[in-house]
Amino acid sequence: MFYGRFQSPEVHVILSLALASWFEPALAAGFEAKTMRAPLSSAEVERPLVIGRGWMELGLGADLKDATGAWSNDGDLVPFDAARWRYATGRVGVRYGITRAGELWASVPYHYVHLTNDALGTDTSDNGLGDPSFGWKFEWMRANDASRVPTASLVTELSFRVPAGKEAPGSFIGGPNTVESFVMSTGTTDIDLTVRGRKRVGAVAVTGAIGYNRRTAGVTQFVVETKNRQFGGRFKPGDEFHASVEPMVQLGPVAVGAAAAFRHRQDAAVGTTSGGLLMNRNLDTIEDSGGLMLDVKPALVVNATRSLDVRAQVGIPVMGEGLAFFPLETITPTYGLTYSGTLAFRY
Amino acid sequence: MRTFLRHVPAAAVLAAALAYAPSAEAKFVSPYNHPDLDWYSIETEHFVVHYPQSRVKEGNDHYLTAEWTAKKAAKVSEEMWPKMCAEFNWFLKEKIHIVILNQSDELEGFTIPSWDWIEVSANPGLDFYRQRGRMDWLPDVLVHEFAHVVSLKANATLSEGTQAVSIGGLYSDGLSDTENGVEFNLMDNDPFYWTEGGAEYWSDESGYNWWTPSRDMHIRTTVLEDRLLSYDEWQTRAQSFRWGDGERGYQQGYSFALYLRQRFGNTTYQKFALESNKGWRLDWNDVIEEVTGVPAETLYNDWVAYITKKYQDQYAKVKAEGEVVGQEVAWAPQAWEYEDPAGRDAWFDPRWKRKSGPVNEDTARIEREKARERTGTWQMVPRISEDGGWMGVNSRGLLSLAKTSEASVNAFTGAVGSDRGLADLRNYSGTMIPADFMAAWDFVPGKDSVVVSMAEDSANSRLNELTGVKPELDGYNWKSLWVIPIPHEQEKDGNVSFTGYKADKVLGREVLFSSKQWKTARKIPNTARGIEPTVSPDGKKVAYLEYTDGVLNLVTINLDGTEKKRLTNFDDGTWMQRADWSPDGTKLAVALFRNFQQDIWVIDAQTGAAEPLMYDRWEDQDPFWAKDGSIWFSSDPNGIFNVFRWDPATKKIAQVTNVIGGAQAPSLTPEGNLLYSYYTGHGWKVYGLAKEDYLMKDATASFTQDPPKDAVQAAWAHREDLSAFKPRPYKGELMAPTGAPVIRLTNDSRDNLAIQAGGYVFLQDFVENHGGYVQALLGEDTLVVGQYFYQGWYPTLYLTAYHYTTKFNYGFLLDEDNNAATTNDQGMWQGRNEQYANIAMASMDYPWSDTLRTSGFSRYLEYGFRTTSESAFQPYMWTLQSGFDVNFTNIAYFGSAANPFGGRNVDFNYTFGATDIVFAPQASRSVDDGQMLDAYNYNKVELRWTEQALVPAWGKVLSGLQELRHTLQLDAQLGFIDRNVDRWDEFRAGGQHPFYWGSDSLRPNTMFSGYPSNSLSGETMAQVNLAYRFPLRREWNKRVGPFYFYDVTGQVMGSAGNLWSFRPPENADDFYRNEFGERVARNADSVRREIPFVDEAYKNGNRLLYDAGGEVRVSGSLFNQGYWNSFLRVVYGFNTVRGYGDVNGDDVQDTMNNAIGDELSNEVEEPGVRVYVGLGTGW
Repeated sequence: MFYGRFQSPEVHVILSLALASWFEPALAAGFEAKTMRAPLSSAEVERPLVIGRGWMELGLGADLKDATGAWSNDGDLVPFDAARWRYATGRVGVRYGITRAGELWASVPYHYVHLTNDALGTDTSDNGLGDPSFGWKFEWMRANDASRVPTASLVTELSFRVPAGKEAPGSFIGGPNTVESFVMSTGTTDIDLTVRGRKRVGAVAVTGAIGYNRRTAGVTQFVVETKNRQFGGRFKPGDEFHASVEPMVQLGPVAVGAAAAFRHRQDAAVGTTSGGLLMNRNLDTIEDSGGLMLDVKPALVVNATRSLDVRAQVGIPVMGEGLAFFPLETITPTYGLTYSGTLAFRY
Repeated sequence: MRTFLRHVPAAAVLAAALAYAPSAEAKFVSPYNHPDLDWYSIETEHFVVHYPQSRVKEGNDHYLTAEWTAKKAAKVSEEMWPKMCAEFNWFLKEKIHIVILNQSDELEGFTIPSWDWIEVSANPGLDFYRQRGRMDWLPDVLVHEFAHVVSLKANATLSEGTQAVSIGGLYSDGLSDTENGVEFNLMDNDPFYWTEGGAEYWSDESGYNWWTPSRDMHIRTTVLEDRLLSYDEWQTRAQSFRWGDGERGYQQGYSFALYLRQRFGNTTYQKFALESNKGWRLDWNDVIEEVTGVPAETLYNDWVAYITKKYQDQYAKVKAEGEVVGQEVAWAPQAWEYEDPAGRDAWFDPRWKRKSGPVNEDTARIEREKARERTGTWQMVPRISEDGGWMGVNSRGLLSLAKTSEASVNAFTGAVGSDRGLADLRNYSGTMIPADFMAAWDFVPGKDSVVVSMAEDSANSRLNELTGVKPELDGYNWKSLWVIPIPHEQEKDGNVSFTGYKADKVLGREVLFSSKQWKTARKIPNTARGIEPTVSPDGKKVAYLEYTDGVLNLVTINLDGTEKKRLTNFDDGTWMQRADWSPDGTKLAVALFRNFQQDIWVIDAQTGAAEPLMYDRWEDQDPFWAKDGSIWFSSDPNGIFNVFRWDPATKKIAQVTNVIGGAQAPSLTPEGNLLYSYYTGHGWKVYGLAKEDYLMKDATASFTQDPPKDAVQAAWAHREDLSAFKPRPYKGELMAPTGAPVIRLTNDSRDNLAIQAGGYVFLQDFVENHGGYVQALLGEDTLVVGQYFYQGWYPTLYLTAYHYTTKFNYGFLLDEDNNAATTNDQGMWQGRNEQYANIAMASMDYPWSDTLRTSGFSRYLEYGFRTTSESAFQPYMWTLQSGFDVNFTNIAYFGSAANPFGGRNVDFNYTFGATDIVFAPQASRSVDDGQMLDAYNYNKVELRWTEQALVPAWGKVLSGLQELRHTLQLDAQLGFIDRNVDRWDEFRAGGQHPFYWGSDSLRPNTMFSGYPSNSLSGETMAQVNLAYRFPLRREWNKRVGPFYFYDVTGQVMGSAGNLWSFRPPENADDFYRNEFGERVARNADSVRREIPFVDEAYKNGNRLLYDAGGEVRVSGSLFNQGYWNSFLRVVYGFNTVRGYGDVNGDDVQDTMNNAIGDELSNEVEEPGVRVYVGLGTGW
């Protein structure tokens, strides 16, 4: 059900148009284009990396991953024998051009997970709010061609991921290792700083990014306190260095590209809260919980109008390491293709 | 684990507080809704003009329409659009919506550019032209507001949907007992002088406005009397609240623009907007240097030097001609009227007035200005009655009358207040009658009565005297004419006999014009929307100006309201001011403005035949028809308003005064002396000029008296064709949504610092019938609030939904043997839980008057939590509450300022609640105060009374302190719940930081701030806080970077009282302990209600609690726009308090059995100091 709802872009197009027509008589005044709104190209590759002042974009997206295996601590692919892990995410995103060079954005995910194991005869599913992210982009540099269409854009992005998602593992009768539900949140906050640039030549654009994700520590509901074997402990996921590059070519209203995304995750740590201002002194590093990851993500973007984009993408894992924090895919993803679709409505 | 319930995070309490009462939303310019109106719209290429019209016409005393005004607005707007847009090369794609108001007689004109919204009244109000000059109201106001729209859109660095970016945080530390909050609103920071002065200037550039003699009068007197706003002061609207400073911001900005035009070219002011648009700056003034190459402050100083020389030269010229001004009519010698060097030195001594304490030139200057303002600032239309017995003037909307004779007026006799006996007599003889602000009035010949214009619902009532409530039931309060006998009586004080006025006393206080005196007043029937009355020489008729839909007409009527006759029938925006009868009662002289020209016309009182007394480009106004047939008036042929006399026999016009300020509203005394309103840098003053001193310089050549009759008649008959503008019913168009991103950093415990981000969006239709907002904050703590409101019916209706979740950390001290003495078996354990609250509420709010409003509400509240072991939230309880709230507030203007010094705020709330404990793990029951609770109903009443008053003027010292606005504040809160309820339904008390609770000194945040937030609870509440407030630095007016600091106020305060609850049985036979160690009464009757003030409160361990502390408040603004108010509060709580859970604030809950032997925490909060800091959070 969930899959069907979020995998059908057509449904959303129709829904959006229907909503727009319903509101039209009253909304005409309030939502008409304003003079201050920045110019924005219909073509994906001609757009700068900030949305532009006065623009708001509402994004409805969905990811679906049917995992067929996991990465070992040594980076080997270990296929599931009898297990099947489906991880689906519906996502609502907002981008808003607050100044000429500044953009605010937010993204709220909702997860559906389904784990079956034929060997064990288990069939478990759960759903819940994930961790929202929000951030601020600032464009330091932009170059335009003679037609005032951007040829280069360089931005810095400061973003946060906050632990609003469900982190309670549920009843643990039989010990903390047997829980009735899946956690959807790391329970901790990320602070990410990324530099992103785009260079366009004609119909071809290349977008590259490099950044560092500082993952802060915090008391989480799912970490086990080992002395009394109770939940409640301090956890710090490993910081990440990440980089990506995505060439893209525009063919009329269609853009085709493929991104390579690399992540280097450092080791996580766990323990109890220490007194004083430095509260992480009691944390112990979890050896081999870090690792390298590389994904390739071919994508197809249809710029239906300047106000409507449809994006389809497949995430192909190439390299990975570790599954210490299953089912927290944001920290240790399983192996499997991830199919993504996004509908972006812009006004 | 059970104890988590004892933790009291702010979430649910905050939720309850926010939903406590409906917000007092109101339309922008009126607290009253008008469902009796239909709205129509006229759409043009670039504008949509909306206007109201009464649904019922026949028999409707308040029938109104604004159709003509709307059509005229549509035409003017389209004409100005290309000119204004071209000035900035900013051609608007969006349509601008103009809402015409005609529900009240007040002047309105404002815009919110990002909403594409302009609101203007069809009626400009009475005396607007005296500050701005001759103008056609509608084009003038529309072009000014549209100049704002274009300039601020062109200037804006933020997207128009963003009002500001709000960044704030609060860190609470239970160990050091501090709460530190900060809040900044980042926004466009255009300065006051450029925004408002620019709108005047760009209107000028578009051809709709000009530097009138009235504007020149304002700045001229400002410069010559050393009252210019400083470079710091003119940046922000919050710069000063002394007389005329608001207008100075406009006119100084306009004058500065004219100076820059002269020096750098006519598009200089516009370029600032486009330069600003390129990027946000910490100081907007940087764009000035970027455009002109000269720093802004240097240019300010250059401009000051330029206009100072200009006006000094002008004054020298007036002096050379011979200044003829007379003198202020004052009853005592004034310090500034010195006649020798010693008097001058005393006046300019920094220690003048202030005998002790810190003194500097700024303070001394302010004190001197205030002293000069004290003799009156808005004194208009001074008159002496025909028999010479009464002298009166309209002073700030109070007709001030004195029994007098011309011989006692110093201005005529030359006795500069030297007769102390006379001066003393004046102190006895004042009589006050309410009147319309700055409006004309008249004596009724032969009677001790006056005719004034006043609001139709002005009459004071016994109800108002007793309660301060004057109900406004239909939402209309138009002006009307009243005949009022002058209250006076012969009195004696020792050896002094005088004619005076003894104010009635009600409840021990004097009432200015009591209900008893109002019984002698009579509203003249059929004079709705009548102003500027003048009584015929025979005392039978009154002539006045009647307003409707943007136009004034001249009307006569008998004093009893019969024989109403309309002498003019304009329907085209013609405007008039001041009328006066000819001595024989056959004609009327009136100042009339139409076709961009203002002259004095003479109109036949029977036929309405009209002819101009003069027909020229001067602003001829304020005609006074003297007994000898001469007409005295004010005009500006040499750029300064002076009084002139027209001679009926020779038709010669003579200049009577020669002033440097402005002489207006002349009238003659029976002896032929002149009284007039004189404009100074310290306000409008009553001046007198003895007839022997008249200038009488022939000025006939300056006026055109015999214009071509055909041209005059054609102009008189001309009507503008507006038939092309067709109205259609209003469609309910929505404004552009606007809002603000919000970023918050707060902590629930010392190791839990959580960031939230989100924002709010506000949306309503253009005439404000429907509206709503959504606020969402995402983060570890999530908040979503939505509200819809409907203002199309008499009460405003609200639907509100609220959802809040919070995650919080906590710790437990574990003790295996439950013996605190043995520590080797103790351990710490930390945890984390999540709480939620959902609220849905329907409510309505109705304003009965400008001081009293009531609201009714019904709301559903659900509260619960999710622990580690639960995959879903578990509801703990739900409550259905219905009730009403009554709010009375008469705390005057600036009531939310640092030092409100008068009035009271009273809130009474009644709630009926039905609660059900539904927490499944506890079998849907809870234990509170030893009683097992499941489903129950309760009644809850709460009264909060906050009284603000200046210290009484008892003795010399207190009188001095009162003058310095030292203030007492009493804040009392009483509450009662009629049964034992779950702790979540109980009253709560303790310190409050305004970061969460809102900054509002109407409901102070100082009550029991010596104790932790929410640390006190119970079913009976009685607490009082007494504060003494005193200005530390008044009118500081200092700008530091983007901050502007206005004043500093100190306060010392203390609280006493307590919250009492129910007490579990203490006899072991009467209770048992459940699995959580709680006492549970075997019989509910053995749970006893504590007696307030008699019993020690079981929950906190005290009979009465006390605290005392001090506070410093700094009021200011940030980025020239919003307020940025800060405080430091230090309070000592004298009592040790106990309670549940983490009582001492160390985030660790001690679960060991304690000495008390019940379920209360083992911890206590010791007496000590709590510190609250708020930077930009309010106080």
